[in-house]
Amino acid sequence: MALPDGLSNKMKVFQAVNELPVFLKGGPADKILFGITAGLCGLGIVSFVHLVYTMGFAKKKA
Amino acid sequence: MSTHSNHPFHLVDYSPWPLTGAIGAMTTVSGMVKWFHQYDISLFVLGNIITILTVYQWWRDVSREGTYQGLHTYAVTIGLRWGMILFILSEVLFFVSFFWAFFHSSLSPAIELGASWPPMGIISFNPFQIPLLNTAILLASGVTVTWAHHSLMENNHSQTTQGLFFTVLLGIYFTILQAYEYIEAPFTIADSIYGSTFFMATGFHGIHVLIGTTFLLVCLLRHLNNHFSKNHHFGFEAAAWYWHFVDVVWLFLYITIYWWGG
Repeated sequence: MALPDGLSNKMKVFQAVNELPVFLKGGPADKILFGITAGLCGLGIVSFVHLVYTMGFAKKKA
Repeated sequence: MSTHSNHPFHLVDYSPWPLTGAIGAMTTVSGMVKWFHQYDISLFVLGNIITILTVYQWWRDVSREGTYQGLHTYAVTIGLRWGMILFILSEVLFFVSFFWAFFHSSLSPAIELGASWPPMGIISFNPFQIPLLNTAILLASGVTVTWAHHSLMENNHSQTTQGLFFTVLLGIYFTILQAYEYIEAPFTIADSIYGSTFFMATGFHGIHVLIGTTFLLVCLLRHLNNHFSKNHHFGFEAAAWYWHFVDVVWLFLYITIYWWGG
């Protein structure tokens, strides 16, 4: 049975021999989404450090 | 990646998702601290966004590996099956704790409760109204998901689509009815041990219904994109197992908390 065109095309894309890991093989959209995720993680870490600082060292308001 | 190897196992690519998932979880719980102490939910929301992005991309990659790259051999699938079995087992034990708390209090109600169950002042739900309807809905959804499964194993695409669609629809209907029950509830989570155990048990079950419905919806979308075959569809089977588990938990909830304990 022949595979649907969409499925066979996807298989070719994701089975292509290159150095890209699976989470980036999908193309530019994958890179953008990964970049957003990484950026938000960075923001989360910075915010966490800021939270620890403000709760640990900032003086309480009178 | 290479699709040729001398073993049947799947050695996964390097993946950022465990790290981003950990950062998301840390940000979420730190956000709860910030929410409770500084009355600011921004960090909590950020953590949830990171977690959602992570789970979407992580499971997307698993689908790619299994469907497009052909890396889910029989041996790999066996591992996935055991993983899902153990996950559902942990969920069973999760709910055991709520039932344990409920029976601990209901079988021997303290004097502060009026030495009776339901406690003095609690007006419980009529189990033969919406709760019974919800029972019928979940039982019906168990039938429809089984219908979809058998159709898939018989390579019947359209029947699988219908079965999955109706299962998702019934799941949404259940959630709507449960939300209505919560809105109309004559007691709150803070109303004695009855309210606490009721809302903890039914609330977590409701969350699991939402998760299961989402899982089945994803399976429906994957099915429409021809991801499943009659021999290779474990993602769907995992969703069906999970849904049957959710169904069984509700039966226990209905019988013990709504009916016997009401």
